[in-house]
Amino acid sequence: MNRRHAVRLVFVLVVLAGGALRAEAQLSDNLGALTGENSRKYLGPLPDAFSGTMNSAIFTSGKVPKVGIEFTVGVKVMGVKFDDQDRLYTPTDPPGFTSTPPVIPAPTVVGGSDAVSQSGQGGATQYYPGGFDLGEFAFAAPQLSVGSVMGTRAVVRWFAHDFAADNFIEKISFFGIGAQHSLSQHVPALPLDLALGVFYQSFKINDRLLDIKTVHLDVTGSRSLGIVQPYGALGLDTFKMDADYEDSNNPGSHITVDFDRTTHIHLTAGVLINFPIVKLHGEANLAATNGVAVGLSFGK
Amino acid sequence: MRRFRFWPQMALVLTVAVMNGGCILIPEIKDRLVELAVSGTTSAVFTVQGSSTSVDETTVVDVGADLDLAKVLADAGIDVSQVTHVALSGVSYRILRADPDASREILNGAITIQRAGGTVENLVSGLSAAPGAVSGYQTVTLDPAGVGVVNQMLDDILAALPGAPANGSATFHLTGETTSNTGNPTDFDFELKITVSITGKITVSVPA
Repeated sequence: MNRRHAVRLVFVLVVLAGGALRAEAQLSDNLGALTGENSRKYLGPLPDAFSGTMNSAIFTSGKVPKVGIEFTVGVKVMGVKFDDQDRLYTPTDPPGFTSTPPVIPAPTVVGGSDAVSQSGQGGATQYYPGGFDLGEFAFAAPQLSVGSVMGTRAVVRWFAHDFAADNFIEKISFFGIGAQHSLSQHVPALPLDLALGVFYQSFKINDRLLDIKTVHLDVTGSRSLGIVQPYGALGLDTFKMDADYEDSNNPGSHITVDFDRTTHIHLTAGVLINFPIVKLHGEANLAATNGVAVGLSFGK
Repeated sequence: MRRFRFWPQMALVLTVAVMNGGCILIPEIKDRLVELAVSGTTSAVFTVQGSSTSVDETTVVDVGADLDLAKVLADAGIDVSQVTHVALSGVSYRILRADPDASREILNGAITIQRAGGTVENLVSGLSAAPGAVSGYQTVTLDPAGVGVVNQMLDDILAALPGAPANGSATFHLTGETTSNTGNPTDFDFELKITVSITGKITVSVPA
């Protein structure tokens, strides 16, 4: 598979899976010329964007039957907007280069598309790559929900694609698993349906280029008003991202960028339209990055 | 029929929620010209052997072949016609093989560069090093005259692609004083690494 076809295939996946990673092949090229410290700054806007999207639209109801058969399958799409402050970073001099003032801010992965040049001692010039000029970031995931046993339903998300013959993007894999347990069954007097949910997700590109792991924990409350079910949730997100890429200055060696683990409060307000077969929901999220999400599911 | 009374209101809420983030959740795909920055390296290795008081070694490097700019660009998917800048971004050195005398030092060192058919120019000045131990890459003080020679070579290498440039080789000359506690002759390997920064434009489709 040549590079162009690989990029197109990734594009299709990313339209399904989200947005910004469409340009992943070029992303790895840009990273290759950056030191680990500058890569951390270049990719800086991504952890919160991934955290805000991946940890949204998982649980859309607090109503979990104590026992019975329920099964839904659908797609969730979550999006966030980037702030202007996400677009630039101040680079750190790479080894062998000593900048001379003024130090020029460089674009992050979501910043402007032009590279910037930094003058250095003795007339050297260091170029920092442009970004992909992204204003928003979206992430989509297929989701399957199966229940209920003892007031508990299981939820799974997944997608994967293998570019075995391609050198730039070998593999994209995403997997999430969790469960939601009814609290209402233990406290029948509650005026609304309440459930405790926990969800783990793993998202990898090329096994190691980007390796993301998240855990989402929340309490979701909802109330059925006919087919309409408003819901809200108070949750906690933990997020970890690592990057690993070949150092183009030292071919054969890799640079590993270990991003700090982050934890954020996650507040959700949404509405679920609960038709007999079709389930539709929209929600707003206050999390690592604020955003919105919608979902369409089919099932009982 | 309460469900029908609520349905239009809730549908409106959902629509507002989606439209509020409209372009977030249904991004429009646009082609963007993105300027990548990639890098390449070339190295000159000096095997320093001889005098106990001075260093004076010369090595010749085929910069065009060693840098292999064509491969650097191809790996990044940048067409030669879309290269926007190429320049020397840094020079560093390391001790590849240590001198048997751990106390060995280089003082007042310098490295010159001479392109085939060109004049000798200072590339590195005020060099001091401790070749008594293997080291990682160390920063040096660059001289604009030598940087200019390298940048001109890079321009010529780029212009000649996909072929090889005329005068693509350069002679590097390492000089300096050495000191040691033992007074033994020098015997170590010194590597000079030149890092080149290259930018080029490619078209990428991104959600916007």
